[in-house]
Amino acid sequence: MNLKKCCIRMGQISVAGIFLAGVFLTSAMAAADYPKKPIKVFYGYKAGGTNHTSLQPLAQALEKILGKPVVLIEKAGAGASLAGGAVVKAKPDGYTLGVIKTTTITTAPYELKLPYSPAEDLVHLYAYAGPASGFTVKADAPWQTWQEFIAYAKANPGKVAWTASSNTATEYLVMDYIGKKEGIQWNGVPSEGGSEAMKMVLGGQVAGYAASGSHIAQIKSGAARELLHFGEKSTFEGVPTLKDIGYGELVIKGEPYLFVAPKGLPDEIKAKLVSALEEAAKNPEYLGVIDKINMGTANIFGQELEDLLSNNAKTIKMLLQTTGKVQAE
Amino acid sequence: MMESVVEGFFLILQWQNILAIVLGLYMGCIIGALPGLSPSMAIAIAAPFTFGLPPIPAISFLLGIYKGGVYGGSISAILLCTPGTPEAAATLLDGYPLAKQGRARQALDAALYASIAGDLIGTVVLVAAAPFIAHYALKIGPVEMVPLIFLAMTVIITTLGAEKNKGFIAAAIGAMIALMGVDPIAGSTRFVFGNYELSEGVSLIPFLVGLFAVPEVINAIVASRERRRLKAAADTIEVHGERLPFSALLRHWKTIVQSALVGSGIGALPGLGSTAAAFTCYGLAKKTSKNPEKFGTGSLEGVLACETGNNGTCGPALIPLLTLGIPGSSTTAVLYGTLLIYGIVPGPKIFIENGPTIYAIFIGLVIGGILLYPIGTSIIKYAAKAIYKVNQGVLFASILLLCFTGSYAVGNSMTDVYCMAAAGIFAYGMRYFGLPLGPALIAFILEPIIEKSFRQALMISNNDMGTFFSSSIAIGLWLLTLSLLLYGPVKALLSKKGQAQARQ
Repeated sequence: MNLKKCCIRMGQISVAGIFLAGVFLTSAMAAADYPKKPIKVFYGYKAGGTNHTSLQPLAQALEKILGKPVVLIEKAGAGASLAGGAVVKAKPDGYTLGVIKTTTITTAPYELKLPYSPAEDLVHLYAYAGPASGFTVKADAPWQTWQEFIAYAKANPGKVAWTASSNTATEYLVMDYIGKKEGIQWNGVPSEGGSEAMKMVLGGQVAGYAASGSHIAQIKSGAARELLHFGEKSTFEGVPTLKDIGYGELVIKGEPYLFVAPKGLPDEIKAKLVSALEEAAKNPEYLGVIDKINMGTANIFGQELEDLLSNNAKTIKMLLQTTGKVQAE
Repeated sequence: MMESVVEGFFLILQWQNILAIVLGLYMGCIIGALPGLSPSMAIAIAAPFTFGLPPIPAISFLLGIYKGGVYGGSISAILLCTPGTPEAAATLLDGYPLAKQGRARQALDAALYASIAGDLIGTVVLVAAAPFIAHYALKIGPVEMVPLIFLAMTVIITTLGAEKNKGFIAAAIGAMIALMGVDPIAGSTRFVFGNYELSEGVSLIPFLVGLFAVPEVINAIVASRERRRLKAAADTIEVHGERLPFSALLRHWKTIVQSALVGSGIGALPGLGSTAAAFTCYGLAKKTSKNPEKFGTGSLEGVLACETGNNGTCGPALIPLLTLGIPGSSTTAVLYGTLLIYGIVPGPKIFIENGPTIYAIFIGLVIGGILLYPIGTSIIKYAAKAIYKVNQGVLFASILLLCFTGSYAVGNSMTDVYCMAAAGIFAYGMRYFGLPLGPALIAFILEPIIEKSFRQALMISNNDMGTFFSSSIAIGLWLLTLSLLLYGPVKALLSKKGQAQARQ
């Protein structure tokens, strides 16, 4: 039912797009000399955080390619849906862009009553990079492997607690799902952000952290270990992935940050922006920063990006339904 | 280790580094003094611009902004009754009454001296006890956080004075406003009225600015009408008055040391924050003071306690960041990112891998603490002159303008501006009914922490209330809270008994 509606809607959008492109020659003319003025980018996470830090060198590289200033404007909060909202309200002329995360599209609409649809009212331009995720324990924890941890949790129902950065974080949902499937009674405890979660792990208040990004520096410094990797390919050698332990249905192909524009962006401008971003993402200074803050590059756009989004959306919807956070249809 | 210290000393003693510290302090003081613009925001914005510099000047610059900002907030709190930063909200309680009595210069001096003292003691704690404190900071989990906040609140409660009932009502109002937004545990929204822009809740800075500055502006308008009717002259704040003699400072050395240590302790724990530290030090100073009745009506001791307390948090706040890689506040989170960019990975091995750089930064902190004196004095002079000359109408109009621009700058969001305006009108109403504003603010800050910790602790233990007494640190904190709570009544009871016996 929903899928059908979605198809019809997408059809409508594309028809409208063709119509607009055909009638308004001016848009093509605008694209030819785009950009004429500075480009505003609303980013959805706190200034000084990893999102902002990764974005800064990318924006600088983009500036050089496009020849006009790229102004970053903080619009943090509500899982980047505030930044998305600011973009939706803007004119689709390519001078207002936003940076959100795939979870803004896949998860936020279930958490909040959004006045717009991040999947349909935004043009998804380019996903550049994102944090890796995995289940992390303290370096001196008694469990050497994921299997040992699971066996311990099964043997001690209600005694094992773990944390994640919020209870709608994909990592939280994955752990909750595994617990349900394996029949483990364990306590998932949401915390506010990665540093609080890491503190609870290092302080021994919880057994582990279903982490997204902030654990890598701790693993590199030797304070923590990863037992399970949530993505397709492990960051650290010898760590099994979800697929390896038999949860192939959960594999999330990464949750990168992505550039978005308002719906109705002329195709010429879209193409120009995507190719500029593609080039900017090869900038060595930017790549150096990405590496230092322990992010992984994604560099996907077009159909590949849409596929990732729809795959993630499907998985997360299934997770939300199985864990009882959203009513099944 | 000694080699690293010496090497660090030579690393920091270069003119570029000192210049970076001075510029950072100046920038911090000015940003801190402007209501709405906070040091954490300034650091977040400045951090990317420092990436071209070598690590030591870059981090010294950011730490200079941090320290300067925490001090700078007191200038506007004292002169304008508008805390420039959340940390300065407690300073206002005594600073503004002092200014009204024509002792603004003394209050400003007290704030500066106290900030320097707090800063230096905090830095000493950081250098001397970092690994030891880091160990304890990790032990403070959700279970220990709950009695810790109870302890802080039993201390802060003394500042309510005779108006206990009204204070409780004000605190309840503050806590209720803090409930707005996304539930920290369940993830669902509360009291957002279907508006997703409110899902982040009411931001601290717009709330703070609205709470303190707006009623003051409305008051000024009302007062000027009153004056016109009575044809009286305006009561201006005289800043050229007497300076604070150094001997007056020495008289209160106990308050200063006590506040610096409490501030350092709170600063080292990720989560409580420097505003709570300032209020706790203020409450503790009142509890231990010989003249507690003076608090709130213009007590130098009060100003000293808050300012030592909030600057005392600066140095130790770096302990969990550097030794554990855990940033405890938004400011230290930005510093964390900056360190990573320079390839300095915070964690247990930081002193081995980056010893000289870290000690250079520590020594830079001490230098910054000392340099705060000339910089603070020059800013006081300038601010005093500027404010003294400005017409009152212009002054209050510009305060109101700053309230609006500052609130917008926090998150580039009109929602914050509306929240500020609503908080301002609400606060005027509270003042009309004689409800104190301090408890509303402190409840607003502490409610999310205690709510989250309480629920996290119960979730970890599978809903066992016994968990709050499961660790020795928690039991110790509960006992301390209980003894502080019972100290007053038991003493009163004993002295009554003594009197009764004496009469017989």
